[in-house]
Amino acid sequence: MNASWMTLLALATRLAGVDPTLEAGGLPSTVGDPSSAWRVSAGQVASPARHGRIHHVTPPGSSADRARSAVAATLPAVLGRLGEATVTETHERVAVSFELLGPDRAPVFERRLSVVLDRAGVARRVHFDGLPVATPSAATVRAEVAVSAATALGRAGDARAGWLPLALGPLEPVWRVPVVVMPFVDHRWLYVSRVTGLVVRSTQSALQHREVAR
Amino acid sequence: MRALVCGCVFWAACTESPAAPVAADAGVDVGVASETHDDVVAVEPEVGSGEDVGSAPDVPLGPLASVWLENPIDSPKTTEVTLLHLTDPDGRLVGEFANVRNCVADKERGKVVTVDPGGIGLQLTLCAPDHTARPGDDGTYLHLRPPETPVIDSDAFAEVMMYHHLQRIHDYFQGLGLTDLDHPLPALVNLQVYLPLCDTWSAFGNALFTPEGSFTYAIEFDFDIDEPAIMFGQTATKDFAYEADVISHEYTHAMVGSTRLNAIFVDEQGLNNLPGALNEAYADYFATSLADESVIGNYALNAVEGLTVCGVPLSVSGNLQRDLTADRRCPDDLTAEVHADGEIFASALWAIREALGPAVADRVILDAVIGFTQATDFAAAAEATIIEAEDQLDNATADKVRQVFIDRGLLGCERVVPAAKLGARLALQFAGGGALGPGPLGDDTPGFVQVGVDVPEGAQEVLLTLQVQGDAVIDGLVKPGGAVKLGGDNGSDAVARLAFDAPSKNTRVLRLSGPCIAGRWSVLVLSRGDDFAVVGATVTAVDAPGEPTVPCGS
Repeated sequence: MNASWMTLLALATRLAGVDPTLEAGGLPSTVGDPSSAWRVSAGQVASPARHGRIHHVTPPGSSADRARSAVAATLPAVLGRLGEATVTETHERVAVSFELLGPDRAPVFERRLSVVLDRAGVARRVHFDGLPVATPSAATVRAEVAVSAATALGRAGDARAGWLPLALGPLEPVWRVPVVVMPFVDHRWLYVSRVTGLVVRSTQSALQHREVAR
Repeated sequence: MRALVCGCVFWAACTESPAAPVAADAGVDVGVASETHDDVVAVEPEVGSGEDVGSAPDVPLGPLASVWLENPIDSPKTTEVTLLHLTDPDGRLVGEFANVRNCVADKERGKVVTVDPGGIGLQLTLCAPDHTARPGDDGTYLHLRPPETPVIDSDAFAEVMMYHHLQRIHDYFQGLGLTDLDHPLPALVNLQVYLPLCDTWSAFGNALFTPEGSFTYAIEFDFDIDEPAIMFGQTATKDFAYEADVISHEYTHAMVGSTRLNAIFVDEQGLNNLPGALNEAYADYFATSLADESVIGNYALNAVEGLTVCGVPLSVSGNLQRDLTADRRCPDDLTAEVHADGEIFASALWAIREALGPAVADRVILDAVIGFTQATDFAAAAEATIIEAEDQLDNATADKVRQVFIDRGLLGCERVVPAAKLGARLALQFAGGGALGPGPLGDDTPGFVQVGVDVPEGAQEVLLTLQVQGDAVIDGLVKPGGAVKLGGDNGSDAVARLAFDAPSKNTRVLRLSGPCIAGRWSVLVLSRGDDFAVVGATVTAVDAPGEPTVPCGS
């Protein structure tokens, strides 16, 4: 690969939301079919569509407040990740475009979610690219918390890069976190979405799997 | 803000144009032109936006200037206009919405920079930005005329052209209610670089929009501009600032494409750079809509000389105009080059304009685009436009809009290009291996488009032969029917992964063999070597098939 292409792709990757300071390797975090339905990650990010029509009557307030209200109604899991808003207006529409914040609350995605309001303040459309990536260490911490909350068994190891298909459509970039249930005897994997930072899948432990197989 | 230098006007371009711009649809009154003598057409001062037409003190005639309304070919007679929104008391071309400078060939004042292509370490001297256009004794800019013959120079006429047409496109968007660039946008004309190696000022035959912070990342050509800007170059025969469409194109990038439509990402079909194509499509659409003619770049982009450095050609040349009435469809016309792929979507936008009328179409299209994000692509953009038509107009009109997109394959387009189309318009670029970092594909980098292979009835083996430039080390994920989809337990839904053989330096051959292979196949190329390009492809049936490479029942 020549240098210009590498540079271009690195830049494009940055634009796609991967902050090299957060994630080595430069895996684009935005993977998805733009026409697909909202991602549903193990029920934790239940959102109706990645882009498309909404009709959300918003409360009074600024355009940014109204847009946040629409996000709360349609993408509640994203609400805590909204950063600075930029407002673009035409005679008919007001588009509120948000920075998205990373796990460390730093803005790592620029303008990855926008809400289009009509002049009456009703939210008409939402466009959403995906959430900031989770760092490997954040994924491990997240997995540790999940393990503790669920079974109090096991210990999460270092996260490894991986991808996971979530239902039909996009490949989800994930961190695969090994969880040692019983040293040298049993382990399982937790998959933490790089996009949402949430645990999106948990495999059975090796021993559990054998039980089921039998 | 992260940034990427983008929006060069290549590939783009044009043909015939009307005598005068039509912007009334957008609420901008450009005045009525009347011919006065051989080579100058006078026009009433532009008053459309209600702005004060210039405020330079002690200017008896006002800030009049001569410009080409389109370009030297389509409007060869210059026209008198009033330069709007000027604010500089000394008459520099600085106003409320533009700050135009000339990048002067001045070795003494230019910044010396070092670039390092392949470890050579070249020292260059950049041209020096300066305000050279100033009013004459009569207070006008009428004395600033185009050069008699094309030449690489530092002419102030280019500044005047740039300033005037920036005001036109600004006011056009303002007429639609869009005011995101209601501040002075920096613009440089006559971009050029001095090369000590061959003792010459090198031309830059292109124009580009540079988002905020562009020069922080990879570009050594730092003109002390950190904010969004547009930059225009010239060749020995073309000055890109002499074409209104090109100015409008780059300005549209600045207006709507700076924080939208810049992502390249991976989806289930491979690399997706359609957001960039959309960025170009909208830049072309609004530029041509303002001009009320479907072609962009009739002057600047035809008979273009490629960029040469010390006699070494480094970029494309030829006729690169873009006509939005051309019949373009997805996926057959995909090239993975954003300007060319943008023509597909821009042609749909132009057809919508023809169906709805300029004023309504511009409004609906702009109201759709302002909600876009970095990764919006063709289908999402089309659907948003249909929604806006439904919401603002009526279902019947929205159905017309939908049909325009359907006719061009823009709803649900699978990025599978028939082999015969590969490289037909442009070489298809592939990134080298390892471009994506860790993932299920390892070091493999998928292409932007897949290859469609039609196997004739009765054939039991075909060879897909790619003509390549570069050291291509590639495999193909193959599947009968529609596009190969990445994902799933096996990494994809392909039925086989086949290696391309390399019988010669410039050919790569994939053998698709089996007793039941008749029909359409899709091939997702995975690159493991260097960057390469595909300049052509053929599919040939083999009379004596070898060992099957794909199973029956695939």
